[in-house]
Amino acid sequence: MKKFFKNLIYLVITIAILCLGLDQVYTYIHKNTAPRNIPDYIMQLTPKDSLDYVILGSSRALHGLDPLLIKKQTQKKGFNFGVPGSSFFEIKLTVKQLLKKNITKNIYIQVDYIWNEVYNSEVPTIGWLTYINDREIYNDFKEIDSKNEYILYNKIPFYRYIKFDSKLGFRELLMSLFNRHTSEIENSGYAPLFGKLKNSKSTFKYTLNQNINPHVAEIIALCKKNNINVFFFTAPIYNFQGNNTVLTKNLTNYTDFSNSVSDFKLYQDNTHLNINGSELFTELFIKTYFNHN
Amino acid sequence: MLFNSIDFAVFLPIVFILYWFIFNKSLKLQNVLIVIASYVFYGWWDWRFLSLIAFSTIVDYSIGVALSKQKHQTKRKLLLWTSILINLGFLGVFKYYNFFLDNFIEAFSLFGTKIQANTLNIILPVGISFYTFQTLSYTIDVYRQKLKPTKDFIAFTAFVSFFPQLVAGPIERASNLLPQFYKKRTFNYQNAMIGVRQIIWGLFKKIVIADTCSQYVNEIFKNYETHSSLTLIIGAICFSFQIYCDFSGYSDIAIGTSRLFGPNLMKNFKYPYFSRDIAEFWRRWHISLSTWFRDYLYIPLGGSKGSKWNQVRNVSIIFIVSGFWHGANWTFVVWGALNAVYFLPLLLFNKNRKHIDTISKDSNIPSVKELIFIFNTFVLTTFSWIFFRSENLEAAFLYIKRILAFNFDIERLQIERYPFEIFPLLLLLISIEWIHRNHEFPLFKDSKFMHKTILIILCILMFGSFSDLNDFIYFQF
Repeated sequence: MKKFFKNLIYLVITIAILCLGLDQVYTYIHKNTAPRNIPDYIMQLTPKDSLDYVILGSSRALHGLDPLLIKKQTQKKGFNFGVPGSSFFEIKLTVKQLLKKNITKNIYIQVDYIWNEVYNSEVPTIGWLTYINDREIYNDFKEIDSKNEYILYNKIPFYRYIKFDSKLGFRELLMSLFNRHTSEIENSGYAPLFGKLKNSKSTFKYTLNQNINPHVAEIIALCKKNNINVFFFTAPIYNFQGNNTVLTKNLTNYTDFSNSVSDFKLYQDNTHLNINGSELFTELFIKTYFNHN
Repeated sequence: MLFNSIDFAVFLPIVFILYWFIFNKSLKLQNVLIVIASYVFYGWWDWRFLSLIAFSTIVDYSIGVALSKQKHQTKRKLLLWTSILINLGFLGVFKYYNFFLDNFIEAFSLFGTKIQANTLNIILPVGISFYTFQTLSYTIDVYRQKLKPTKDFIAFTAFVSFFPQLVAGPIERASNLLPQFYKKRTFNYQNAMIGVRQIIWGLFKKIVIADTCSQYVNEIFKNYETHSSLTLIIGAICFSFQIYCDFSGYSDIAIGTSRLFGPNLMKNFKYPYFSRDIAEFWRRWHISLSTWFRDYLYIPLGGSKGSKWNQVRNVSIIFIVSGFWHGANWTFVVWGALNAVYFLPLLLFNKNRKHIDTISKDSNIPSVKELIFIFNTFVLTTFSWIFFRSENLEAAFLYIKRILAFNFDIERLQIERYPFEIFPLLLLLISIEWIHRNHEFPLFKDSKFMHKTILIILCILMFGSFSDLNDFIYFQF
């Protein structure tokens, strides 16, 4: 039995060493090779990558605004950092890192029903787990770690890469090593949708909390402190039947585009514009924000 | 409790320590712990169904005792049939009730008669097909006087509910497993280390191969109407490997876990995809079920004795029943029948025992002839797996029809992968298995520092599909 336990301990120690080593290798590759997700891309930005503006938000920002079209029409260089499923927690993480990198003076944030979300969404935060050993990033996660998950990702080597292998694992690593960018990163973050809304009678509604989202308050304070212009906007929604007065009341520099695109052929579903819709919305966005400069 | 879950990773060491350090004072205590641990293991999934196992155990134990006292043949037969009816009755109600009812209603509707009957919302108890067959084998063996009935109720309960093989086999024979619960177990270092390595090998097959293949298989079989022939062929190949690695991986973990506690379970798979014909495939695939059907159905039906017609009938029955055992769906019946169709020519031309020797015994490289035979067998089994995996017969036929459209476009799947990205992993598995084909499992022998085992652990860490942990496929049977 003693020999058996000795062997088991040997195996456990070997596994621990393997995990430590793999953790170091994976983290190094994520940090230093072709970025495959938004957090990796942001962490690799340098001051010479300076941008005239950045767009942040959820999939509604990602699929709705095309920075290449904006550049074509205005010569302004920007990047769409929209991530599907993002809530304000992830947006705050992104803002903090962008400020640290000091690469832009203008931040445009898409806001809608995510106003109500105080906690993070799991999927959009996965990319940030590579950097969870950074004390500042971990402190942010600690605040919302009600299930004590992020402490495990921080303390157990390689656990984050195992748990989210499809997003951070071997295949993604290989693609990074072979310098294979995702199409979003090649298109300055923009990802068009090609579907069409089937039911022209469908409607969409949400009710917003009266209180200001604490992460939004923190973003506004941070931007003010760093002399960054922050703009909030609501992207178009098909047949929107709610109202955004809470946002108008609480946010300065807020523009409501929710009812600005009414043709159902320009939507993939009620909340997402398709490629033609995003072209129209991008032009509207240019007129609103860039022609005034 | 899943073998690939954190729960089991905590459960197993606790039971192991209790077993060898606290309950090791007597045989009775060891068996009591096995029963408690097994009931906790099963109850973790749904404690309500523990009553089924307990009832099945009491019935077969009592019938065994009664058979030992009964000399009158008719009464003995009556006792045997009581056990068969109760065990198969459970299966009939929980697994086949809705299937028979639906088909009954449909059959009557063909004659213009409408029958009003409601199907029941029945949950299929995990592993019911496995433990009912195991207890049945005990009663039949006692009836045939091949086995002495046990008077040790705890040992019998441990035999029925032994947690490593309770929910997905191997389906143990009482003659092999039960006597092992009569003897006090002492710790065997060699056997335990082989067990640990077999668990690691089983996890590799499950987490690295089966769960990765399942991502491709689920996407391709779900949207088969939109995929090219090439993608559909790759989907079928992936399912062949998924089902093999899922099920044989489970068997390896079960056998390995059992070794940690002493009992040796029967071998369930012997590198089936290296088979040179279908007969050999069935001697290497799910051996515990194939031999169960051979001993308790095929031989009583007359086996290979009698006229060719009788042999054909017996083989067909065995394969169809075996298909139906897997589930209440015509797809399984067709899968079984298809295998019978593959097997019958071998039987008719007396070629069904042609390949009983080890493949490429003296060489590491198979001959061209062997390769062609292996390839043919793999193609046939892969074709039949399409029926096994499809939701219904219509879907299976449409899947095959689309393959025959011979459209070889290379596609990107909804899972952000090209279908062929899975091939390096499959090649890794095939290479490891081929090199170790003469061993019970590839890690059966390892060096002092366990180099091979550590490499496999590294593969699990790097290539494992942990994001979507899946149930073992055979849990549903």
